[in-house]
This record gives sequence, structure tokens and C-alpha cells, in this order.
Amino acid sequence: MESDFLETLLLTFKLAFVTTSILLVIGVPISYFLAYTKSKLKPIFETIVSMPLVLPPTVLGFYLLLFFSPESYLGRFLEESIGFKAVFTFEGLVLGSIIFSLPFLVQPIQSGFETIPKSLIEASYTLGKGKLETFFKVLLPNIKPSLITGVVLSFAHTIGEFGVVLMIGGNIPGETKVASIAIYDEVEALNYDIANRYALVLLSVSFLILLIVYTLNKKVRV
Amino acid sequence: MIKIDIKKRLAKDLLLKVNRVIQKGDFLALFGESGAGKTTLLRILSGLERPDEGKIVVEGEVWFDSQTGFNMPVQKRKIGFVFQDYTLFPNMSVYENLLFAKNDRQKADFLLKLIELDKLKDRYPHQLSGGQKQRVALIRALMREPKILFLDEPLSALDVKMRSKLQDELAQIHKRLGVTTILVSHEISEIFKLCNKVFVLEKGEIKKEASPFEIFVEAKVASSFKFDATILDLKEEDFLCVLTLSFGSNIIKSVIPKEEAKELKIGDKVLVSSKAFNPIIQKIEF
Amino acid sequence: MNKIAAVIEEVKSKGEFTIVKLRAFEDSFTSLIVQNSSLLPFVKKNKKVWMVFKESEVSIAKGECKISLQNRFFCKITHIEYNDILALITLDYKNERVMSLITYNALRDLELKVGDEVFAFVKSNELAIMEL
Repeated sequence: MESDFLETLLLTFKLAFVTTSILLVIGVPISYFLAYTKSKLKPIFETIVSMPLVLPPTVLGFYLLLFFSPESYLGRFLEESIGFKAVFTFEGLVLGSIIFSLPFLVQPIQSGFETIPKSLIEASYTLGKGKLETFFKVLLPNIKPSLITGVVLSFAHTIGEFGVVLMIGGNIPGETKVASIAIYDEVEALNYDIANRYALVLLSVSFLILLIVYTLNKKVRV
Repeated sequence: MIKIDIKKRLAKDLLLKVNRVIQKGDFLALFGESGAGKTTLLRILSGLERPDEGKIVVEGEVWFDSQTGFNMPVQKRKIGFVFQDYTLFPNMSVYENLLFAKNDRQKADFLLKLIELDKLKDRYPHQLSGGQKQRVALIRALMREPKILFLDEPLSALDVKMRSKLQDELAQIHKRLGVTTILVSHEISEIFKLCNKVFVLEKGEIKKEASPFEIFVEAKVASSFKFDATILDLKEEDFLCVLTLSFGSNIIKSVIPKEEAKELKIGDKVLVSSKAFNPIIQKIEF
Repeated sequence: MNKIAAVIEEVKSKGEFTIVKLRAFEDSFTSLIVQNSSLLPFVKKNKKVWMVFKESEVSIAKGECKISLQNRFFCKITHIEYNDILALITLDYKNERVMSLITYNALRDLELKVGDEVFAFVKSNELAIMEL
């Protein structure tokens, strides 16, 4: 029982950590692109990224299940070519969480980029610095609060996600059973005691994370 | 020597068309109404914007040539650019801002001493006053020993006293380093203090090129008493209008017929002139 | 600001001072400037310019009188506005509009009214010249 509890919590945080790390790598460039693109298609890109905000998680989960199931063309292709199985696996959970948490990372960072005056970037160019150097030495350090907010929101959101996880992950202990599923499970089985322990951990973690964010952001802004 | 021959369409009915030569060491002012193309010309020369066609040659080096399709990127042009809104990097201290431009401590120390800010080198931008920020931005622009220094209304956000101080400093720096400098400014007094040449831009074209004296003093009205002022207040009294005007740190009042005040509003810039006989002069006793 | 187009007839400079003779319609005017004419590129003989002068510098006389003022021109009053202290008189000078700001007392003393024919005066040193 005890090891079950720990295993589930560990898996939950592992999922959040892996998801957020990957999100950071792909999300920051997406935010940068959305903030500075002059493309007429910008609203379309923004809509796609933000869809998970309004979509019921089960809808997203349903489509993921459909697209990646071994019976589908894409699912079979992925499994045969690179051995990637999305349905009822941890990797599948990561994929679903990335898509679902993307707007939580992209939106704060995009608006962070957008608040940086154009002249600050141009100033860097006139001092002989290229786009890449300007990005890492001027842009990123000056949107630290937005970066922190984006990372924490997507981390916390991944921990709390339920619908997508349930749809494509199912409930395999040690593989896809995360805390939010476990709570539901235990309540179903009338194990209020264990459900309570999970809930308490999630509650305190969420509280702590947000507290850290607000404290940090305050410090950065001064 | 800088040779400019460029064209750029700014709007349907506005074509920026400049064909001029700027001498090395000049302190040139771009003067004209807003929308005349001053800032765009500055941005084209610096490489922040691209002209539609033409050629820019700086001291024998081609910076832009539409015939060969060559456009030297802004990063490669040896320039300094001071923007209206300070643009110090908030994540770097004063010293780091300077070293970001060029990792040359000796140069940074020299320039900091020049503007007497060496004591503030470890401060961050948010710990500086507006005037201090702009002075740091100015020396940061000088770190790379630019061939041209561009100043886009650099002092417009500062109060009158600070502006005057910075003008003196700019004049001194220019005298000392001799960098070819191009300034966009609306302030006649500022141009007088700093520049040896003025391009008057009107609707995208340079209508006049002369010294500030020739452009602002000898032209227009043959009256001896002249300055540009800002309207602080308009008060209508029956058929008259009493204007309160500020110029420099002074405030004066003047009266005009109400009808003439129709086209004026608070904040407008006006040219105040009077014949030389009118002012009553009294010695100020301290 | 009153503005009348005129043609420069003569320019005479001595040191810092320049006296300019102008003609508008049949009347001659003079303007005194504190600046040598060499520094006044548009002040040249036969050049068309604006004569510019403030309303408050225009005096008004009714009937014939002898006076040191050089710039005298015959006008008709077309409009009068006044309050307890000041009066703004609109004059017609050969279809050009000229305004004069005088005190209410002066208006009353001269018994000025719309339709009156009067002489308007401007001192030479109050008459500025502006590029047309």
C-alpha cells in the first residue's frame, strides 16, 4: 500500500517534470515565434496553441486515442518505425500532457516577449549582436518572471490533469497511474483515507509552488 | 564622408527621397514636422530599415546598394544608436551594459569618467534617473567606436534642466571624439547648441540644407527677438485670447485676437518673435 | 497679427540698422530692423514680402493731423468689439483686413463707429518684414 502510494506520487512528479522540460524546449521558440511573427496566419497558430484551454480534456484525450491507437495508420506507423506506443504508456501520457499544457507555458512567455520594447531588441542589434545572442542575453533574462510563471503553471497543470490522462493512459500502476487518477480510484473504492493523503499532498504542493512563484516574481520585479 | 542616395515609399502619398552628402565629423540635425521621415531616414542609415532603392556609402564602404542587392546588416555597420526611451538592458548593470557592447574595460572606464558616472557603474538601470540612463545609453553607443552616431530625439523625455546639461555634455563629447553624429530633434535651441548643419525635411524630401543660423535666424521673419515656445494655456477674454507660453524655464504671457487663436491649442509649438526695440532691458542686481 | 503684402522699394543699412522702404497700394511704408541687410537674404529691392504688425501697435486717428509716424494708411471701420477696458476695431484697407486694439476710453473719446473713415498708424520699429 505504502509503496503504491509513493510510486504513484513519484510517477506524477516524473510526468510533470518530463512534460515541463520538453515543453520548455519547444514552447519558448513557439512563444518567440508567436510574439514576433508578422504572418497573417498568426491568429490561426494562436488558436491552435490555445485550444486546450477551452476544450474539455476528454475531447483531446479521445482524439489522441483515436490517432495513436495501434489500429490507426499513424499509431501503427509510429510503433513499427520507432517503437513509440502512445496508448496506455507513460510516453503517451507525456505526449498528451505536452499538448494539453502547451498554452499554460506559451501564453505567459509570449506576453513576456511582447512587453519587451522593440527598441531594446534593436538596441542590441545596433551594438552588433545577432538574433541568437540577443535572444539569450537580452530577451530571456528580461522575461524571467514570465518564464517562471509559464514553467510553474504547466508543471502544476500537468500534476492536476485528469481527463486526458484517464483517456489515453488508463490506470496502470507504475506506468500511467498518476495521483489525480488514484484519488478518483480510491474514492470509488470508498478508501477516503488514502484519497485524502493524495489530495493533501497535491494541495500542499500546489500551494507551495504558487507561493514560490509569487515570492520569486516579486523579487525579480523590484 | 557619407553619401546617401535612397528612396523609400512610406505611404501612398509619401516618398522619402534623399540624395545628400554628409561630411565626416559633422553634427547634423534632421529637422521637420513629425511624419516628414526623419526617424525613418535615421533607421535606414543605421540598417534597422531597408530602403526601396538606392545606395549608401560610408567612408568608402558600401552599406547598401540596391543594384547589387547588397544590404549590410545593422550588426555589421559600425554605428551607435541612442533611442528616445533609454533602452538600457534591465538585467545588466551599467558596467555590464557597456561591456555587452564591447568587452573593453579600459574603454568603458574612460567613457564612464568622461560623463562622471564611474561611481554608478555597478548600479542597475532601474536605480538610475532618466538623465543618468540616457547618458549611459550614450556612452554605450560609443563603446564600439562608431563611424556614425545616431540620436533619435534622445533628450525629449527629460526635463528642461537635465536636457540642457546633456546637451552640453553631448557637445563636449562630440568636440572630443569627433564622431559624425546625426540628431533628430524638434528643438531649435537644441539644434543651435549642438549642430553645425541642418537638413530640413518636408514630406520626405530635404527642402533645405544649411547651418542652423541660416535656417532659423535669417529666414522667415526679419525681427530680432525670436524663440520657439510651447503653449501652456489659452484663456479667452471677450474678443481676445491670452496665451501663456513656456520657453526654456521661463513663462511669458502674450495677447492675440481670439480669431487668431482658433488654430492654436495647448501643447502647440509656436514661434514667438518681436522687433528688437520692444523688450525693456533692466540689469538684474544680485 | 496683421499682414499686408508689399513690395520693397529701397533698403538702406548702416551698421546694425537697416531701414526698408516699402509700397503697398499707393501708400509707402517704412520698417526699421536691427540687423545689417547683408544678413537678411529676402530683404532685397523689388521683392514682394509681408508687412507684419501686432493689432496693439496700430493707432487710429480721425480727421487730419500731423504726426511723426511714417506708416499711415486710410481705412474704413467695418466692425467694433469692446468691453469695459479694450476695443478691437476691424478696419478695411483696400479690401485688406487690419485690426487695431485700443482702449475703450480711446474708442469713446474718438466716438468711433462702424462706417467711419480713419487713418491707421504703425511705428516703423513695430513693422516687421516676413518672407512671402
